[in-house]
Amino acid sequence: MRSRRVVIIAISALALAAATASAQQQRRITGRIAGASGEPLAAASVIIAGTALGTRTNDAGEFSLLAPDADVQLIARRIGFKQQSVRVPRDQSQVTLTLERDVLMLEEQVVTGENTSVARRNAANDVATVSSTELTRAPTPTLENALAGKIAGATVSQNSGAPGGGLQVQLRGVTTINGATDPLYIVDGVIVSNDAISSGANAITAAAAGGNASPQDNAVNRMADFNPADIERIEVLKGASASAIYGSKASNGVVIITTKRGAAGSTQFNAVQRVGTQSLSHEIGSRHWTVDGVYAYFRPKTAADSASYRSLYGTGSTTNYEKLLFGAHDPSYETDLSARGGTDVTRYFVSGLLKRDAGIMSGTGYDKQSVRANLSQTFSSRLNVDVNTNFMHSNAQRGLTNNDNSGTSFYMVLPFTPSFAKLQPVNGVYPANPFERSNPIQTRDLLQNQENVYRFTGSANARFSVFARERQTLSLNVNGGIDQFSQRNDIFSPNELLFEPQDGLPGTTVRGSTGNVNSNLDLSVVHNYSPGAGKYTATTSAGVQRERRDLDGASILTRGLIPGQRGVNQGSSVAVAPVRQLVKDFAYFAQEELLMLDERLLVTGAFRADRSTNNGDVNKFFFFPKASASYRVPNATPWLDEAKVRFAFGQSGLPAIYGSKFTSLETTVYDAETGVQVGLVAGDRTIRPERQTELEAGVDLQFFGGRSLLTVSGYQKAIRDLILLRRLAPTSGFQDQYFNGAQLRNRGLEVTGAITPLSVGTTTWISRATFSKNVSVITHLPVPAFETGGFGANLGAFRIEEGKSATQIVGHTLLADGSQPTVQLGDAAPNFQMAFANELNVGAWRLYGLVDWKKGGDIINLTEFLYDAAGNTKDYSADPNSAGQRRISRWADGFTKEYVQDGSFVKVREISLAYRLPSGLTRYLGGRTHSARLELSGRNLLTFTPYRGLDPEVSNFGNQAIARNIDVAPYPPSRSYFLTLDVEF
Amino acid sequence: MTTSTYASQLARRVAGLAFAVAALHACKDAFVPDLNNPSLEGIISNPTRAQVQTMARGIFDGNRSDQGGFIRDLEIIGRDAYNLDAADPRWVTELLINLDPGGFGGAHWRVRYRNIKGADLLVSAAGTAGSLSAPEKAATIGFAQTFKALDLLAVAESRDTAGVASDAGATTADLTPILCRDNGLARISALLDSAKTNLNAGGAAFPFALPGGFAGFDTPASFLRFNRAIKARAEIYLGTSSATHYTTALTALSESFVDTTASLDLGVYHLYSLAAGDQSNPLFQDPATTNFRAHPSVRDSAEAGDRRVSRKTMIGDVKTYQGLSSNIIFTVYDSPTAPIPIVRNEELILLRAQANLGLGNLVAATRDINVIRVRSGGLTPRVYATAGAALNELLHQKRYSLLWESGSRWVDMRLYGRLATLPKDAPTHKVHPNFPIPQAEVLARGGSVRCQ
Repeated sequence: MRSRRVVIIAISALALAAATASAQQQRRITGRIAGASGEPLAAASVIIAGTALGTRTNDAGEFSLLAPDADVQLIARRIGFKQQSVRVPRDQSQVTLTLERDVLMLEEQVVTGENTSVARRNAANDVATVSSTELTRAPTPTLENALAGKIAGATVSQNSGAPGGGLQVQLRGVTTINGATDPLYIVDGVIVSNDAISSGANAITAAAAGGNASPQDNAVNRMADFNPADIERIEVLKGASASAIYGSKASNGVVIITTKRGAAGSTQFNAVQRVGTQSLSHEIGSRHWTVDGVYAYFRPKTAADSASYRSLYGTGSTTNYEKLLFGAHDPSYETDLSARGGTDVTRYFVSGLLKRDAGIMSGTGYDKQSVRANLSQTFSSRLNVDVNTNFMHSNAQRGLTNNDNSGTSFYMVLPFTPSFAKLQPVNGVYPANPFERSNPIQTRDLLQNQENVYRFTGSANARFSVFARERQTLSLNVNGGIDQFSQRNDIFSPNELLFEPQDGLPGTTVRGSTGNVNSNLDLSVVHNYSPGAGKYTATTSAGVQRERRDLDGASILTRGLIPGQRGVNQGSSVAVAPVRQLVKDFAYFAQEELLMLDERLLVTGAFRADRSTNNGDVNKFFFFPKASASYRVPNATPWLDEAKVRFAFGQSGLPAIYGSKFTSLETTVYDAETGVQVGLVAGDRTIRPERQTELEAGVDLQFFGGRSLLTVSGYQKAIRDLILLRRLAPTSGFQDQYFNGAQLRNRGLEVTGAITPLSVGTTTWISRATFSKNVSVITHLPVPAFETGGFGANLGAFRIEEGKSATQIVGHTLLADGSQPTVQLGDAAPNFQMAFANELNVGAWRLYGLVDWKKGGDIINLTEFLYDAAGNTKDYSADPNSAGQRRISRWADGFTKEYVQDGSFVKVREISLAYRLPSGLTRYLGGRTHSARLELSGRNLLTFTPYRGLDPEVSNFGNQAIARNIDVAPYPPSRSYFLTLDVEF
Repeated sequence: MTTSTYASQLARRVAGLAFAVAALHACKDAFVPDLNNPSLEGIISNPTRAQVQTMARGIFDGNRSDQGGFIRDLEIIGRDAYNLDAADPRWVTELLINLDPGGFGGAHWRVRYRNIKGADLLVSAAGTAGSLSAPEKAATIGFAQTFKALDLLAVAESRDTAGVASDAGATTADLTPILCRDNGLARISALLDSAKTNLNAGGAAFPFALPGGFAGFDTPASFLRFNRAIKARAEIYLGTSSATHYTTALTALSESFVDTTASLDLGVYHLYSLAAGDQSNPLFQDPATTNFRAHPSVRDSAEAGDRRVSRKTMIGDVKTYQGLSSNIIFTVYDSPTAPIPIVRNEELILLRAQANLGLGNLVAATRDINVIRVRSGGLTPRVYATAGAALNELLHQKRYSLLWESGSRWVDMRLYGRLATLPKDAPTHKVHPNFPIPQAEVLARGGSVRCQ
């Protein structure tokens, strides 16, 4: 009640301030903005320093604006160019400015709040940005792949090599134990869903049987749907000091995505055609078996048994089943078409995407289509409206991977299938696998696992300039959007599959159908006040945000199918699993930014207050404050162009886990009657959001005339009220209870450096490097240390323990006294990460490479464990001292450490060689063509790692706050190679 | 436009905005109920008859939810069975080598106390139910107490000397005492007697329907015969401590449904089905691919001509895992909807023999043993020279009569100190004397648990 009144009073105060502003005598300045070679620069912004007056250039680079009738300082800016300023005396009305390219992006604007931004050189936070060119230098399966290695402090990891996505983005370390793991994603003002909805493959794999946690279906998180080619830029708020303005949703950081927009001028078309393929980049290999080895391992008890093993062994001829299953080289392609253009009044950007990523296993792959139309309309000098619409469809065929308990998942079957097994179909008949319940070739050929997603994301953003005066402006912004998708999962496992009779009900079909609608509506006012004479600029913003998320779905599982049928009503056993989440949130926010002392000092204060239906008290508002300051020193020394020190403090939250306030009963069915039972988890009626407090301090330096820069940031994130599942005494009847209690802390260091070692004529070399290190510690744990994720300490698990890293891996070890305590054996968090990007332009040629280096970070390698347990590892032999035998016997003695392995890697993420076709050839393509480029590129071409599993980027349980890095039978990694033709006309 | 008109226009606009803000906020939408499940609070006081019905059915299901896993694990430790599941080595590494209190060693505990909690909730809810008559309340409470005792008895069977928690916690923070073996069994026995009192006051019918597996035991009076069968089991476990319990056991049996002339399959069963939301028989797997295998000793130790061997097992393909192999497949359950007995006449006849042996009544015991030899095994009657010889025979008969349906072999061998005689397949293998108290329970109790 009281806070509503505050907003009204604030708005009224602004109105009064506006009313007292008086108009002054004005004059008109016209001019032209051009690049270094004289080309007109459209959409450049031109402002009068110290005032709120400004405009943008048209297609011809020309502008015209009103200025005070006095000497003024004119500033011209454009993304990708360095800012220029010039003094325009009172009697001069014509200006021409030439802007230099800003290859290191020193001068871009970065977000500070809803509808407010500030020049990077003033920013008090290290806000990472990724531009459209950085995103699309090498073809990417999904958006997140293209972020890997580009942001200091962001860990972007694949969960498996399956086509179609499934990646996790973690910003500045672990920020929660049980809460949501993903950053908040905002696309053109819409809070979009990044849900990962399980396919239901568990019906086949039974991975969750035996009490194991369930999300082992290799689900795709839905950011995969967006087309990277549509994106103009991505800004990443890594911690609470920057993200406080997003309140209780932002503890994991915020990823703000802005899509491309139209620009006034004739229509510019861009067509990109890529064709390529992919190959298995790493195999595990398997044991070389001898007849004696077979007898020694399988220990036949009778003569008949021996004979049967002898005949299975046959001539000892072998098959490389990994290569057979994952050796496909089917074509992949991508077609991107876009057009942008418009008039001063109406501007548009439209694009279309057609894409297929083939999988390295036949029958797997990823198809995606996307259509986008972004429209900007200027109704008057006061009202601008942007409407953005995007329709997407994807179809992912992901095979059957990860853990199972049914002998079906490919890399669960291969460990137990010796290379001498004969599984190739004979006359169309797939032989039974004598060593496991399924024949993986048959499973590959007959089992279908498809995910179809139809998605629409639309937003409208209206900016109404209530008034614009020399000294102050007031604008009203209304931003609303909707993000809707419907996901359909179809799994069909026909009766004839060899594993199907296991449950007595041959034939399985799963039909999952999930709809999600996110919508949000934001209202904000932004007031800008500049008293003139370069004193200061005050930007005041305030507003409200309302958000609703509604997830509703059901999965139907039918077993015992009528042969040949796949309908969910065509079987003898039908089960339905519903999912439903409805969340309604509401927030207020207000922010004050003061830019003063000749734009040297920026001071910001802000708060946001949030309430959510997820909290125990749905009416309570939780406050999240923020304060920051930065001070820059231009021309400090001859070689140091500019130095900036910055300091930021902020709080943000993570919503209470959905349903954690309820103590629910479970419903069951027994002999056609329903029953209720106590559920697993007891709720907490007082549950509240987790709260992060971040302090960030840093220094930004620019050297040698803008040819190099260095950004160093240190931070501390202290998170309290972490929601825990308190492990209750099982005699309570419950397993766990939710409560707010734990605290953890991350401290880290991030360094970003960029340099242009060479810039002579058309030859330039740009080199960038990022470094990040994060150390987490559980600072307070009001419950006994507990294990989370994994399959028990015996096989390696994560352990939340006070005073220890949040991501420590524990397991058994055997002591001299014969005891087997559970001790720390590793840590999933890397020691540090670095990435190096280099771009060399020589004439028409461009060579670009991105290398991603992760040092440390351990992985629980249960895939190797399975091979060892089956006596089928590459380094396993009948010799008890062979490495494989030694590992499994030491594990059996009580040393889990054997399977906790170093996951360090160096990956050549992206590499591309591009050639700009000579203009003669370009003309040949068509009269309008003004640029054409041919490019050879590859992704993940090389990996150097001591890790013995398939890929050190792996997560059996999908996106996880803590328990990533568990390797159980993933889809293997692949390299991809593409040839691209990129034409602008 | 003058400044003042401008200001007044502006003021109107701002007021409009403020109104919009207020309207947005005022929406009374800040509440979302639990959309996925019924809530605990909704049933615990003054439940309707329909709510009593769903709580009661939940208790049947809660007991059923551990039945298959309990039998499987006890039969594996008792060397009647293997689970040669290549996807999970722990069926061997834990059950036959080292039981991890945080892994498989923690099984068959919480799931039991969860159902005990459900029974406690039903007892207190029934007491407040205006929809139930006084006899119906008593019948409901007697039913809940009987199932609570049945679940506690499963805990006592799996934990033995490690102890059994007397009750489920009244709150999430409440830690009930861990009773030592005999105290725990005495508590179970007393609970069954309390249930008996309530069932006797329970009138002609329960206020809820029982599942089909309780046909013939579905009124308070007939359900009491099931209650007495469970009582006999508990008392016989106490018999090795004091022989008077054998007398109590015989009394309980006389009030149960033991009958040498009736079908040996007479009894109560858990039903399984393939209906949506229902459970299928967890001990059934397709014979062509099943991981569930009988221990080779099941056939090696059988008496020639014992019909139970061919009725309950068959020879199939050899399955090998972790150095273990077996080609013997269980045929006890022929489909995923086959019921699994909770207790049946054949066991009661053998329990009566067991109690009589404990009291030195060799003749009476021999009579019952021979009923089983003849009727179940198709064997000829025998005479036993000593009580020791008769006990050996009783344990042998119990193994084959209850194969893959109760887990009693391990419990019996432990009861008579014979665990060391169970066959071990490798030198590293062990025969666990009991499941440990689960790690979570020990941690919740400060890291150590001592029974009292």
